[in-house]
Amino acid sequence: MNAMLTLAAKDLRLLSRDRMGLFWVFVFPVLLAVLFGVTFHNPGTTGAARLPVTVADEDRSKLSQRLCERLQASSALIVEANSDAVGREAVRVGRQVACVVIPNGFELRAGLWGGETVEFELHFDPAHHAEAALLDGVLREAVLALLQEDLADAEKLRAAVEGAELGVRFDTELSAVERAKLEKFLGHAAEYLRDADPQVLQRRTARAPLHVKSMAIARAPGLSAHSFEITFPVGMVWGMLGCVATFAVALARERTTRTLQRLRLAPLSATQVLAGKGLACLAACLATMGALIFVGHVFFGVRMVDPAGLALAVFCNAACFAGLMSGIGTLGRTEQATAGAGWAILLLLALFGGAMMPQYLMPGWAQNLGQLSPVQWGIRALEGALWRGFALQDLVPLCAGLLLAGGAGFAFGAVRLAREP
Amino acid sequence: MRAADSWEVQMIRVRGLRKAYASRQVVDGLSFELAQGETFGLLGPNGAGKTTTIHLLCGLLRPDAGCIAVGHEEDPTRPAVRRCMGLAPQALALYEELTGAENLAFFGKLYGLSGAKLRARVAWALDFAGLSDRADQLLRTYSGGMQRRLNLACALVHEPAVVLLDEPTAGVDPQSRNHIFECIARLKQAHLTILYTTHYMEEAARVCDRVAILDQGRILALDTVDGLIAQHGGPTEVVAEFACAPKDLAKLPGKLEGLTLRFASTQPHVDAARLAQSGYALTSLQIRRPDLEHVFLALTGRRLRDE
Repeated sequence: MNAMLTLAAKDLRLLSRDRMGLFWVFVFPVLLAVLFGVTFHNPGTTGAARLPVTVADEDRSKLSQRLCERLQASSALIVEANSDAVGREAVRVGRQVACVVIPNGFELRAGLWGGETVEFELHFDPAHHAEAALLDGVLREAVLALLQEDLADAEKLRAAVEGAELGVRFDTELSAVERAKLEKFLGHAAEYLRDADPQVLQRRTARAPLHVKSMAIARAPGLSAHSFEITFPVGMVWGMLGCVATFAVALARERTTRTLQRLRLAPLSATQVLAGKGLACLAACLATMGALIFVGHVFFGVRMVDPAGLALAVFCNAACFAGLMSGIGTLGRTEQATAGAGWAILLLLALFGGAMMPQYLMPGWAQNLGQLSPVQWGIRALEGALWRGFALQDLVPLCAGLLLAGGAGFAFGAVRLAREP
Repeated sequence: MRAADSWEVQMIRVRGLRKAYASRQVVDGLSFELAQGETFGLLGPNGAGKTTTIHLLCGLLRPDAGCIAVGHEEDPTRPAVRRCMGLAPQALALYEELTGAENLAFFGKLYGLSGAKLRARVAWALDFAGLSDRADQLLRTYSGGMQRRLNLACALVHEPAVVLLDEPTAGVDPQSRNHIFECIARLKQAHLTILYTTHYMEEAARVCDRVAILDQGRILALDTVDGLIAQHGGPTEVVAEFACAPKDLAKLPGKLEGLTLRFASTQPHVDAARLAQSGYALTSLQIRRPDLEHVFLALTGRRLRDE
């Protein structure tokens, strides 16, 4: 054990003298967490950022004008009014997410008693499928809201009924019986509207048919996360990935500078040599996460709902990534080969594990693959202890997975190092 | 070939050692012994198998055949064997971002030293390498010769009984080379067993009690330096340069090539004195004794320096 501590102390001393290494291990993850936290920070809500869209109004009617104003007032959109051609070009070059075209004749066809389905064109960036679906919903909501407004306005409703009476009268396709029935119905409607109290009418029609109440799911009230509580666990994982890369390359450097040969000559087994390296990586991972938790808690309000669970999650994460480092460090014969192989593996783990982009944006197979990534287990365990309020039974499977992954990585590295000539 | 049987205790015994990389036989049936306190040289050109032999001896490589015994142990990878061995590898194997003292302390701790004992050994090693005044400076600020001396000191900090020195003077300036020779002399005085590899015959002649001439993985000859020269070096030659062509050629021993006379002699001083007093006008007169270069040439047909 003394020899392993000696090895670990030496590696940490070497790291402390490597300013660039210190930056990537300790400073970069904090910057990353803060940067992403600020980027996605939305005071008072956890909502997504607003989508930049162009609205091309080809109808130029009162109704289309009202629709444009309603879209501009939407909290989900940043609307730029422009022509269809300019809007589509903006989407093509990636400046706007989509271009909505309000077609000519919209008011005539879509107004009350218009009786026709109006087709809007929605030109969207193929990189933003999910956002296009969101925009579709916002558009439908806005049109329905306009119709609802018209229904609540007695004057507009009367005018619409009168227009409909005229339409029925001159519709040659209607049979005499149908025309009579419709004229009778519209006559009753007009009579009702003439005598109706506008306030009662508005009260009855202004009520929305549906309201969705959104609630963040958490184990206990008040536990829903703010942006920094989401980005700091990701930052911790990136810090550990930095540690893994740094120490894996350091192990390869031991080989190229022949100091590994000297270590192998000492009365130590290959496993002990690797364990010393892993111990240093574990200590660096713990220090990195400790620094991030401190900065997050003190300066950005990141909570620690379950300190004991957090300690468990932090240790298991550190052990996992120290073990993975032990495996990755033995992959290449040179520093370049190890760094290349190491980052390739780590970036794949980070990508599928949700440390680079939200997993819901990935296809199904990638989301399934992500379930196998220790990065995802690590983030979930940290979030669970920081703000999700995980119980011990929620944490244990994740922590066990992390320890198993770390153990497998270490065993792989120990076998490779022992077999190395 | 004289074995080390006459020495007090055999420290290392090697029998029929073989190692091949792919189809190339790098070590081909080596057998030798090192007695306690002996300095044993492996002299051979690059690629002769010197470093591979050292790596086999200290357990960094596993032999394809043959056996190695260090003291009473037959497995050089056992911790007890490793504790009694120190290797100064040919390439520097040190941490550039640690100081000299930190490098020594680190390797000392790996061998189980601690506390006052560790501090004393680090101080001794720094003094041994002549680096006490640079102890707290980072290794990357050291000159090449200083790094080479520290490389040697790191092999000694844990007080090994056997020291393996793999070309310890490779690439160092003459001043540092002399310092390393002085260090080795101190180790010899302390009765450490030393295995020394080199391709410099002068070093082997200066440092080693016995030398094995190694070529293509085989020992061609093994003896003391004097024994090797006596057996394989050929006779001592007297070489004279004449100022002008001598007239009475029949009285001269050997053959004249241009103005140079060269002949083998069993009494070189007598023959040289006789030539000097013979009245010929000489521009130079030399007695050329055979050395290990001649031995290597005689054994392989090649010059060591040409390799």
